[in-house]
Amino acid sequence: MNTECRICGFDVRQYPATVEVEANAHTFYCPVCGQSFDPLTGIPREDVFYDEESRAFVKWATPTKAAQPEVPAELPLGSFKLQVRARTKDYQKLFYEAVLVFVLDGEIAQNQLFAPPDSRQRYGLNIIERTLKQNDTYIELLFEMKGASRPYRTTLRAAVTRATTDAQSSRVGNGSALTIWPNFKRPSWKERREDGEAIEHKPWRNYFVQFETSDGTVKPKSLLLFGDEPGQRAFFDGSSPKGALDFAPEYVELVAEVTRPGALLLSYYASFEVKLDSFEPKKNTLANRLRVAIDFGTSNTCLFYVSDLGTGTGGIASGTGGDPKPLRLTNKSHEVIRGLSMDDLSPCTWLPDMKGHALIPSELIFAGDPLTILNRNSRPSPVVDYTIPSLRWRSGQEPMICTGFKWKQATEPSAVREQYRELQRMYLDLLFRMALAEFVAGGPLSGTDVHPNSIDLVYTYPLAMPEDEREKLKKVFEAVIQPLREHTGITINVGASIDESRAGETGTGMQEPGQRIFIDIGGGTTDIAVIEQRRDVAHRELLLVDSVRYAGNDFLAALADDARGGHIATGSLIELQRRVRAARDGAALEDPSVFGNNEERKEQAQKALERFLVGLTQYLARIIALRVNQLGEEAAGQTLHIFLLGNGWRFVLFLPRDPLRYAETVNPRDFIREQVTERLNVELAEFVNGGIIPAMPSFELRHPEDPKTVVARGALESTRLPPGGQQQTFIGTNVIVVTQTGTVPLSWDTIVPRRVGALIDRVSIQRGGLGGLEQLRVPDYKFEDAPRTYIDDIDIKRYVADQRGQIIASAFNVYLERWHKNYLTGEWAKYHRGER
Amino acid sequence: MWVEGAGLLLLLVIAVELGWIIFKGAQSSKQSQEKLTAMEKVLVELHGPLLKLADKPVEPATPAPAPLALPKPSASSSTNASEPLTDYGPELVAVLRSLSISITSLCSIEQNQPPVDALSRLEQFGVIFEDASRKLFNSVARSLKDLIDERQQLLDMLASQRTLQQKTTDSLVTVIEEAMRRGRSGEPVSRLSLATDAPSRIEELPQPEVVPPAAEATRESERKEAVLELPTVGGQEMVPDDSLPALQPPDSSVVPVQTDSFVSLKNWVVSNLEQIMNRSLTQWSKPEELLQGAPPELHYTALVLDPDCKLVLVGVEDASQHLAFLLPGGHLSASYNDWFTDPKGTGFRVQRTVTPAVLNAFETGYSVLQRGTITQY
Repeated sequence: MNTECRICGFDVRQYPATVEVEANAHTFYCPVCGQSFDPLTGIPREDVFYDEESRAFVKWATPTKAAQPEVPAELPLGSFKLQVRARTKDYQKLFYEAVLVFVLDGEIAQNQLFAPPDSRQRYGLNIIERTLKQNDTYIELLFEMKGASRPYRTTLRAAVTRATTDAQSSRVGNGSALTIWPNFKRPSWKERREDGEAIEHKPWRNYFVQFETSDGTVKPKSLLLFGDEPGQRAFFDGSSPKGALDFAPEYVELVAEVTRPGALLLSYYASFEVKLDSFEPKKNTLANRLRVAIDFGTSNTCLFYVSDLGTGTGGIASGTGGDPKPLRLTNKSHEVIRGLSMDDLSPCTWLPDMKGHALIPSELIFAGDPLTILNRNSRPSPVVDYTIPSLRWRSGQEPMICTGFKWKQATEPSAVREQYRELQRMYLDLLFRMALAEFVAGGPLSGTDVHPNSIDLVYTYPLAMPEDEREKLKKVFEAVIQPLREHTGITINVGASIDESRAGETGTGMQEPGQRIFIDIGGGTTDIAVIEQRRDVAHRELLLVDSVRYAGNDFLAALADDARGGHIATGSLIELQRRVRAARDGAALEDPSVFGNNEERKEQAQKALERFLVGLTQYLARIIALRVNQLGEEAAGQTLHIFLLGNGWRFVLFLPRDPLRYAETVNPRDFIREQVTERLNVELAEFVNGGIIPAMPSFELRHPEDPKTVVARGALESTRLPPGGQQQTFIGTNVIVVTQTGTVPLSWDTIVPRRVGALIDRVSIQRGGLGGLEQLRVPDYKFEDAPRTYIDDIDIKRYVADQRGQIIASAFNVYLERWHKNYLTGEWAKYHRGER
Repeated sequence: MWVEGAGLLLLLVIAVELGWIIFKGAQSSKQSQEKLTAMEKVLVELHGPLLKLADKPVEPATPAPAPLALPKPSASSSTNASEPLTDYGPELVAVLRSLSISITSLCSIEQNQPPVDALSRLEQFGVIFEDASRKLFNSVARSLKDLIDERQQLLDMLASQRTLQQKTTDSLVTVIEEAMRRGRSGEPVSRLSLATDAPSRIEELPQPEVVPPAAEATRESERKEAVLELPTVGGQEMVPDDSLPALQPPDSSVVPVQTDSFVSLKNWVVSNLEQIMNRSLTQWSKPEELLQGAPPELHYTALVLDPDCKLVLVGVEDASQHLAFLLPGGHLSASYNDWFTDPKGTGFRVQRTVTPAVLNAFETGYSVLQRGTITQY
């Protein structure tokens, strides 16, 4: 302590006097000049310290000595003596009466306090040693605290929950988990704009907490969380206390009953310091914004991002520079108590550990029956009521999962179909929180390249999505970003939306001149783009762009054993989707149990796959034929480059393999390319035979290593996107248009939109079809029990024509959507699955 | 029957005549001997047709009872060894022969020895004659009974064979129906076995048995049930698809007519099948359009018999025969599995018809005269 006066330099040690320091001011003054000395913070030798909160001197005492409320204490400073009156405080009262001790593999959790968070915050309690005594019924603690001249010891009543890790399986038995998401805190800051306006960016205050234990003797009662600031408290009760809180938690207090024999029926307490990482916003660059693109798919969703300048500061999402990177979600949970994997819970509504995956399942898993939860009065809450399921497939979870909510008709289970918009909102809300956490925790938003609290978002949509549906999807995005700004302090600016067809094309990054066809098979739609690039990026022409609701889920639906399916597989559509997602390279369908160990059913599934692929290869063949006919003689010298994009192509791997032709270790991409090439050659040969094209065209297939993420990547590069304008496609099959003035036959290669000159009464596909694909007689799904009729008797006007006498859409798409995908099993499905 | 009766009547006449000779004591023994020998020959000749009834090897003649210690005659001495005999024929011949010998010896006694009392000789002859007559009657009765039994056996055998033939035919009908249905469900017909207990070949025919009327009725009932019972696959009864034209057995009253115009059409279709297939890959709405270029004088007809399979049937007006072919992109259904050879199986997409199937149409369906060939993806 400084004993010389800062003004006059007098050293009070020479001053023979005893001065009593007043508790409120806890300071003393120079006897010469009257200047105040530094406040007296304590008398360590006497275990006395000044408690700011109570504005009094406090002296640590044993329970006996603490009976005396106030004792004098003296601090000698040479001849000068400072005297204070200190309130006694029983240091035993810093601790809980009975504590629940968490032990993992024989080691007591190091961050466990054994005392209320207040003891740590106010009195600086710090445990140095922990020793369990008397058969785990007591714990002896060696600790230090504010104002104490030496470590103290105490013994507390204890109940111990021991978890052990199995050496072979690495699984923890009898474990518990107290988990908080995310694992960081981020403070607020004020941005002063060039125009002088100040904007306050709020701190990140979106957290989730959950406690779970597999120790049957421990019955949790409540969870109390404390933030930094007074009043920041959140309370959750129940046997699995969990919920959301709007502040960064600093301490957690858990209360539980222990019901083991011999234990007293007491409430046992455990408390922990959370210790989240801190990522402070860096404000070096405010002009650039992080650009993020989201490809919200029927089966999977993918995000790409790019920061225009510089490099990041580390972390998985850093180092983007100007190069688009996929967002790979990692585990952003903070484990306060370690020992139980949240993923082992069933159902698990904790945020998924995606383990660096770029494809996030477009699914939600609920804590119970989805319809019941959705129909409650209160809006479902993440973690408490639902989450995005992890990639791992677990049998029996299907009844709690909702999928396909990008489309109303594809939403499963059908009972929640009417709430598909709400499901979209819930999904995107949670997904964006996870994405933002990834951007903040070591990502570009904690770097110096981009604005730390503002990002631009581009989202994609399939052209098969009608205009009004696109508008509604946009509203869902907008509905999500507002609460996100409140919760995270980060503003998402929803910008342009891009069709998936063009985005997929751009995402491949092809820049050399040439004719290219892009066919992207997703879960719900297949998107096609035909581009001609002449010299450079600026000279590109979008020749054809289209989208059809004929994709991977239709194949799985044809196999599924549920109301919609063909009863070839043993599981429902949701189970098949989850199996396929969890497995690599389509190996999920190789599992004999998928078909009830029945080889015949597996062969049926492979036949269905053949039919599914015929639809796709016919589509490709027709596009190629169109281009060949358009180019005429020019076509002979050109090779069409066909890009197989999307995850749907991986079903090709399920085709039976000729062991003489393919080694077991064949590259899956090569196999896909070869199989599709063969089938395309067959279709094109028939086109040549039928005189549809003059000769076999030259084409080359490419299948990127990561065929799914190119759409989101392409969406980021809007500057490279070919001009939008009016989307055009071709009608795809021969049709008869009946107008008020007569009948107009339209050939399959007619480009649409196409005005026919009069109001359209009726449109039908001609009976002969093209290339032998179309069935002559099909069910008219308008009437469920109606007998099959010739295809030219069915009016498809509502799908392909508008009110102004224009054919606006591909009739072949209608055929694929209404009929071909309902005939994949070789028998007509009972009712139409893909109503547009 | 009349032969045996005539033989019996003749014996009675002989006996009366012999009695008369002995009683009168007239005539020489040589004349008597010659007369008896002649009678024996007549008897043997009369039995000839009966001897031909059986085709058994010649058996030694049954020895006749020894007539009054007379020497035993050898079988070979009186009959031809190669001559077929019945079971009863040798016995009858032996009786006659012993009678003849007895009379001969009786006459020789008259010649070489002093005459004895005529009454005692007549007594001896009476014993011999009585024995011979009894044996003759037994033999004839046995012959008649055997004949009746044999006729009955033949009738039974014929009845059994008729039942067996009916059973075999029914089994074959069942098997064919099952084959058709299994073929529809995708199972190759070659895998099918004749699921019947009935032997399929004549050499395996069971021995005829006499079936009581009640048992026969039960068997008939079982047979009908077996025919009505539908074949099962995987424990499930197969139900015929009424929507598909059933394959009918050919009507024997309809003789396929292969007219010149049908032959011409067939030749034209076979040589233009590739073009027909190619034409189907582009725009067409009526099946006649696929036969574009066929000579109009053929007056051909074309019909999409099964739109789901893309099965087209063509024919000419004055012929019951038709040609059938599948268009590319069709799927061969089980109903037509036996119309075409070498398919991968039902459910696979048809690539081409290589040769059309030739069918004969009758009122309720078609019979395949020649199977077509297709290729599949």
